[in-house]
Amino acid sequence: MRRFALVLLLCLGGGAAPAFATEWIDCSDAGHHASFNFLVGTVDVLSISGLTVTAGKKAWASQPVYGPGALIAVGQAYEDTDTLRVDAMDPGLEAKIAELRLFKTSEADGDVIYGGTLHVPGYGAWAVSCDGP
Amino acid sequence: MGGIPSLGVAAFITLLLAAAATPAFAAQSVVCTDGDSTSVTVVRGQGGLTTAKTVAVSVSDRNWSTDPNVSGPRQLRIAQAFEDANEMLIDLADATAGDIDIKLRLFKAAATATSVVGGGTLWVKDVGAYALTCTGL
Repeated sequence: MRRFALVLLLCLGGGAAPAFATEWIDCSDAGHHASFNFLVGTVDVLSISGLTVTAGKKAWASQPVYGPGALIAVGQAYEDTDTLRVDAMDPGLEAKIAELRLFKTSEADGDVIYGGTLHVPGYGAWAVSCDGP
Repeated sequence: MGGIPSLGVAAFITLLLAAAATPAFAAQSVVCTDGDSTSVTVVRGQGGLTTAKTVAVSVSDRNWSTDPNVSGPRQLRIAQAFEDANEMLIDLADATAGDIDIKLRLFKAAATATSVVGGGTLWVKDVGAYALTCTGL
């Protein structure tokens, strides 16, 4: 009986555990001069656990495992049904390194289309589109 | 006020505020493409109101336009349009039924002191959705 209760408890625990799957959304301009890639979790609100940014030959990454370049951190991040906005900051959260502004829309088959702008102060701005979930 | 009529000062301030709210380098036409077979052209009005005046959309061999003087494309009307320093939003509706058939959503960002890039999405009812790159913003 105790063994059955333990199995039942494990099953219920597994069912209640949140899904921790993450997926990258990769954004770049048509000429691949700049990019903003970010790792999102499958939760109800925008949750970014990693990102990389490039502008010309300059690169940033939130962790060395994600890519080369200087360290970068997620500042503000907000998503609703039509837009997605992310500000990337320096690790001390004092200076803005990049602004990603995206509109979202859906094709008939449900695939989400992302399009917008990437502004990296001091380096330029680009129109970008994204691939992701 | 140095002899300047107060009405003149008010008009001058109004003009200054209007100029500040309008991008100094905005072109009359905004042209967008998905890099393939989809394009959008927005012609702005002139004078004090620079929001969209006419819009033409093309997806492969299908065409839509809000310009009543153009024959051929399916006629739509501008249901609502908004533009400021950061974004341009346009909804096009069926000329008779009023349903929204096309949605254009663009963000703007200053690439340099004199150039602005635009990027966003185009949704066309029952046709598809596309990511766009735009000039003329």
